[in-house]
Amino acid sequence: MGLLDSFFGKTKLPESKTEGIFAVSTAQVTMEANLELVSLKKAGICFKPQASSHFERARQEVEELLELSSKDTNTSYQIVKDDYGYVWILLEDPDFEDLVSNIYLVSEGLVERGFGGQLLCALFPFKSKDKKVIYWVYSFKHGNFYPFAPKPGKERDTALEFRTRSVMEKELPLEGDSARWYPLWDSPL
Amino acid sequence: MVNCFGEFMKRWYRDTGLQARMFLTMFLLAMVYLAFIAFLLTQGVGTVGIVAFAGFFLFVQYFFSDRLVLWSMGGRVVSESEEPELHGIVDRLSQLADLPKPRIAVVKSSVPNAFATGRSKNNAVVAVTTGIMRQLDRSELEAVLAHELSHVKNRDVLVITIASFLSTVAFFLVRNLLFFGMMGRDRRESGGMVVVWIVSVLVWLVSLLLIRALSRYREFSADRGAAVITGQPAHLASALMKISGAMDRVPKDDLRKVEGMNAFFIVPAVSGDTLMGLFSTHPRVEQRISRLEEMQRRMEF
Repeated sequence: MGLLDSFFGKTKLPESKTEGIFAVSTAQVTMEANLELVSLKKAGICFKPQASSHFERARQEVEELLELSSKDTNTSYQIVKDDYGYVWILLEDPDFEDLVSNIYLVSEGLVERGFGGQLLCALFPFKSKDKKVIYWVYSFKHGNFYPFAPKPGKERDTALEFRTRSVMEKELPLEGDSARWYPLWDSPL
Repeated sequence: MVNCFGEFMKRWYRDTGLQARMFLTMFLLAMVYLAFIAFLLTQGVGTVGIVAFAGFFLFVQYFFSDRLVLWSMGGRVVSESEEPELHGIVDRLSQLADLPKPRIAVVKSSVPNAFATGRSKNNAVVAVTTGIMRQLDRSELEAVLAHELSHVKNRDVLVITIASFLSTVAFFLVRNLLFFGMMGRDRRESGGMVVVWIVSVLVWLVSLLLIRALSRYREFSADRGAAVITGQPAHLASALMKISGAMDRVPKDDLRKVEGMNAFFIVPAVSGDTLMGLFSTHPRVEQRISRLEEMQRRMEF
C-alpha cells in the first residue's frame, strides 16, 4: 500500500506471494540434519473467509482441486473453522514435499481467483529432540518464513526461535523484522 | 483464469465519490492555510513566534500521542496472558493487513468505545473500553478492531495533526491577540491587530469545518477498511448498531469526561443532535451502516 493510498484512506489487503513456500522443502532436510528438528508430517493453511457468494464459489473450486490432488499424493486433509472465524485446511502426509505442494495448490488457487488477500499463513510444525514443538510460519504477505515456538501460558520460547533462525538463515527466506513474527496461539495444528 | 475476480475485488470496496470529496476538502484546507500564511507574512514578525510555538506544541502532541491519549483516557496496555482474546484477534488482523502488531490497551469505562493512536505504525496503540468488550460478540469486536487498525494503516493521526496545524495557530492568535490588544499599545498598531484577529477567527472557523469534514471522511474510510480486512461489512454494521443504541443509555457524567477525545473514537461519546451535521467529527451512525450495507450488496454483484 503506497503513501498515496494511505493519504486518501484506501485500505487494501496486500496481495499474497506464494512462490516462496517451496524453500521449506529443502530447508526441512537441513533442519533434520543440523538441528534435529523433525517434521510432524503435518501442515496447515489458514485464510479469512469473506461473506460473499464469489468467495464461496472460489473456495468450493479450490476444495475440489485439493480433493483431486490429495488423492494423487495420498494426503489426508480436513477443513476446520477456528474460534476466530478463520478457516484452516489441515493436511497430513509422510512425504513432506506433498504437504508443500498441496498447500501451494490451495494458496495459488485462491490467488488466481482474486482472493489472495484473504490468505493469512501456512504452518509447518516441527518437533525438537526434547519434544518441544516449533512452527515455521509462512507469511503470504511478505513471502517469507518466521519461527513460532509456543510455551505454556502464552509465552514464546524466544531463545529457541532465535537459535533456529540463525541456523536457517541461509536456507530459508526469513522475516527480518521480528515485530512481524505474529504468534498463532491455539492453532488447530 | 488469472485474476478474473481481481477486478470485482477492487470494485466492491472502491468509493470514488468519497475519495473525491476527501481530495476537495484537503485542497480547500490547503488554500485557506496558504492564504492565511500569506496574510500573516504581510503582518510582520509579531506572528512568527506564535506559529513556531504552535508548531512545537503540535509536534509534541503528535510525537507523544500514544502516551498522551492513553494517559488522558486512563488506558492500560495489556499483555497476552491478560487479554488473550484481544491479542488473538489483533495478531491475525495485523498479519492480514500487513501491519506490525500494535500495543493493545484497555480502558475501564462502561461507555462502549474504541480508539487508535500513536504517531506511526510502529508506535500504534489500539484501545477498547471494558464496556465495548462486554457488549459485543467476538466477530463484532473484531470488526471494531479492524476499523481502528485501518486508522493506523491510513496514518490518520498524522493526517489530522497536519490538517489541524494552522487551525491551532489561528486559535492561538485569536486567544492571545485579544490579550495583547488590551496591553495598551498605540492606536495604529492595535488597529492592525484587530484585522489579524478577525482574519484569524475566520480562518479558525472555516478550517474547523473543513477538518471536521475530513475527519468524517476518514471515518468512512476506516469503516471501508474494516470491511475489507474482515471481509464482513455486516459485522461492523451490527457492532455500530449495538454501540450507538447503548450510547444513549449510559450516564452523562462518563460522557462528559471523554468528550475531548472524540476524534479518536469509533463513535462519538457526545451526540448533540443540533450541531451534529457540520461540526461533528463522526458521520451519523445510520449513514455509516447504510454504506456498509451497500458494500455488502456490491460484494455479490
